Amino acid sequence: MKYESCILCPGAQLHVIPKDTFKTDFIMFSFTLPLARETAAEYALLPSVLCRGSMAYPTLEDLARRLDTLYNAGIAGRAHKRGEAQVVTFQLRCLEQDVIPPEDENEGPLLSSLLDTFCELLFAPLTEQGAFLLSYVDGEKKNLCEAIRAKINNKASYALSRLDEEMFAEECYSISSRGTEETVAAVTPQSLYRCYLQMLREAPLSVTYVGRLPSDTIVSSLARFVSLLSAHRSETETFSCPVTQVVRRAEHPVRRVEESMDIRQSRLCIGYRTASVLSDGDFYRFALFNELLGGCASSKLFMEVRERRGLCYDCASYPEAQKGVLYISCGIAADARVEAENAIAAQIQAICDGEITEEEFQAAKKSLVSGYREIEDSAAAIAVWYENRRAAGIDTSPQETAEQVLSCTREALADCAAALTQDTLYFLRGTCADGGEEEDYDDDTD
Amino acid sequence: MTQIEHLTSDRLRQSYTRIRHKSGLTVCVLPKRAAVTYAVLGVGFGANDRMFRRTSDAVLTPLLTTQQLPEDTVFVPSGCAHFLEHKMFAERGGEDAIARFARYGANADAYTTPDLTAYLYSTTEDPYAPLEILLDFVMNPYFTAENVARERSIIAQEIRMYDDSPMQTGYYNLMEALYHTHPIRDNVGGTEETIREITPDVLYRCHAAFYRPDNMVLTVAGNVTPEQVMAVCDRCLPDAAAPSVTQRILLPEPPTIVRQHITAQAGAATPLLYFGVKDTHLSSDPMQRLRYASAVDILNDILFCKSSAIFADLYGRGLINGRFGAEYEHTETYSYALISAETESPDETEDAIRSYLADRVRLHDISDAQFARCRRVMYASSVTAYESTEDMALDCLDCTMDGGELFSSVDVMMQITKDDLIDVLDMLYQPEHMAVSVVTK
Repeated sequence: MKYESCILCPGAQLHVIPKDTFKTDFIMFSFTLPLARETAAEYALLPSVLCRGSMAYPTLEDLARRLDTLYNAGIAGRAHKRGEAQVVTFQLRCLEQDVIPPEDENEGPLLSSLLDTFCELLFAPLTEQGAFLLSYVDGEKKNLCEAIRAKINNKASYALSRLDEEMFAEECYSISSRGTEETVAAVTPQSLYRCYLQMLREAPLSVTYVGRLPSDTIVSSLARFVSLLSAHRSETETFSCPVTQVVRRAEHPVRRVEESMDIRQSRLCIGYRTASVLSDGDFYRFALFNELLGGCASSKLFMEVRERRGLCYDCASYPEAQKGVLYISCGIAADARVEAENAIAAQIQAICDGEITEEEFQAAKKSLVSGYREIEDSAAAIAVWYENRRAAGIDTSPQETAEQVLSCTREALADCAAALTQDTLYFLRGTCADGGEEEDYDDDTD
Repeated sequence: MTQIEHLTSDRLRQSYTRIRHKSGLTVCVLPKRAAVTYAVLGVGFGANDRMFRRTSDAVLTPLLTTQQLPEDTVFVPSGCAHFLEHKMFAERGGEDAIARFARYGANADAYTTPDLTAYLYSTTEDPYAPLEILLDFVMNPYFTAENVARERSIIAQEIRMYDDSPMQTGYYNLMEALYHTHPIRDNVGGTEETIREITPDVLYRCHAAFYRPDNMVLTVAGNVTPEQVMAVCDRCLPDAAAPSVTQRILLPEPPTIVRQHITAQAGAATPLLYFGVKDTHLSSDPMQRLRYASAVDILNDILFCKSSAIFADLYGRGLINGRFGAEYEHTETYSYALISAETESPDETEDAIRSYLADRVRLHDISDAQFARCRRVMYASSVTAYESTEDMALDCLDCTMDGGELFSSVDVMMQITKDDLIDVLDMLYQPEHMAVSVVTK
């Protein structure tokens, strides 16, 4: 798909993706920052502290009321990892103007009101002595620490995050986009404010709009935002995006890490280096390999490890396109570990040996192509798709990628399998085979 | 005779066709320009259906509440509907229905709730070929001792996975605190013990009793026409509805709660608080249920959303984080409101919620400004509800299975007044019906 792009101010680009099937306008602001141990916690906190209170909307309640009044408009801020970059995004969403009831039309364009509200949050936060409010920063630090600790509530994602920590111990990819409890605790209103100013000053920004409005309307709606941002920016700044270090082969024998926990189901997680990243331009081949191996319900892992052997309920593979990693994760009984490991290895070997039936091959293609076509049905998915590709220096649309997938050969998939090297295996052993949580009943029942 | 109705909503600028197929199946076709076509086949057999009998009564009595169980009562082990859902995908010759769907580029899946079992697929290709597969595999069971045994080990892993979830522990403990006999107390998947009782024979009996076109609803949203969907139904389904009926049996549930507090130590990172209110205002009239539930949904939004006074208070005091909210279930046989929070101080948070609710009941202070804002939120949700074919198909399934209709739910929502909210506030939030489940480290 062709879409218009333009420069808003130094280091800030606008992309306008025309789409007329939604009843909402969607606009996403993404600031790209280096992923660093010293600042990860700050950037993780920043969106929630900015939404917590601004001069115009001093409390969460004030902001929530404002957004309710704008017909349930949304401003969702978060920080996530894209390869070895930390990206702070704000996704804004509101109803399209032509579905507003006529009696409310005199309130002005909804999208402009929403952008004004966003400007208040981003550029006019509540401050004291040249930094954010201590009470707000402390409150959000506590919440973030709770979110970090809450990882353990979901054993599957907890085990995968432990695998990341072990596998990338020597690489900055191991840094969590939420920071750690320790680095969050160390954040001060001053350190956070410095990072905030640094983001406005130096971070490359991309603004992506998806909807019906023409680009000149979007540019004029963004005029206030641009003038406020420009005040922080200088022409001499380089606005460079961080580069992700890609390790294409595991250079050491497989690292094996095992931990125990008092849980009923064990989790087996394996991390591979893939030799394939999005910026190579032919990542679609690896995406198809993943689909065939463990990306869909007719995949080899699902069929063999779950359906034929009955070892698990979930067994799937997940690719990471920027860093060049493949994860395989399954939940098994502790004594099924060796069988599961062997069955997984055998499925990878089978693809390597070209043992791909026509049925499996076509099913994987159809499943992946269908996934690409579905992107059209979600404004956020469209925006994220193009943003990730721009960051990797490519511009293929979901439709073009689907065409590439359809022309992919079995040999290409065997090559992907052959290039895979196992790096680290993490096993979370469940030691509570009989289960049954302890309960105590209070005596104040009626 | 097949009967056809066309339903239109001016508000949503949307319409759909509802068909009562001659086989007894209710079919809703929701045409929409989108990449994905989404189809769901819902079966009126859920985790709560644990006792039934076959009857030849001409009048369908869907629910019998009795302490004197008829002699011909069939007892269903807990987890059976879910087991059946898993096992329906097995086909003669060892094939898996998933693979048949995949051949046409369709992604198939299924889920089981307390009230129903749903089989679904999504596709960006020809929507009709997978529809034939859907109707075919759900109507044609194939169970053997061997394939049932293998599924048992897969489901045992699923049960263990959920057992390791503190959220699940907190939820089911609350259900046990609210309900004396109702099967909503039990895990949808059953336990490792109860699934041992599930045999091919049990599965075949449940399938025969419940997997009947007149106990099912099909909804299809996307690039489809009613005529072509009907053509597939005509090819795949019987020409007439079968005469016998299945009667569900449920033990009487007292209006009281079982206990006020239950605490479990289950490895929660931050203590989880589940504050439940048992709602005893049940109705067998779908329209009445819809009105009542819509009013409670709006009320709960005003009471507990991010712009509410209690959220600001608890968040401001550092008692809760962003994971705080209210939900509401309202069916013919059970109903409850659930307020959940992550909190380091469960007791203090519980007290705050209790006194907040008591004050609201005493003061009836829902302001016009709150109500006006909430109406805007509701209006926006109704306009955007049908952006995705998945949401359309699933919402339409839920409404239709509950005896209602998709658009009337939106219209009812917009007709709710402030007085309606005050009424349900008084009816629902009664202190003697409140129970709390806490999960700690």
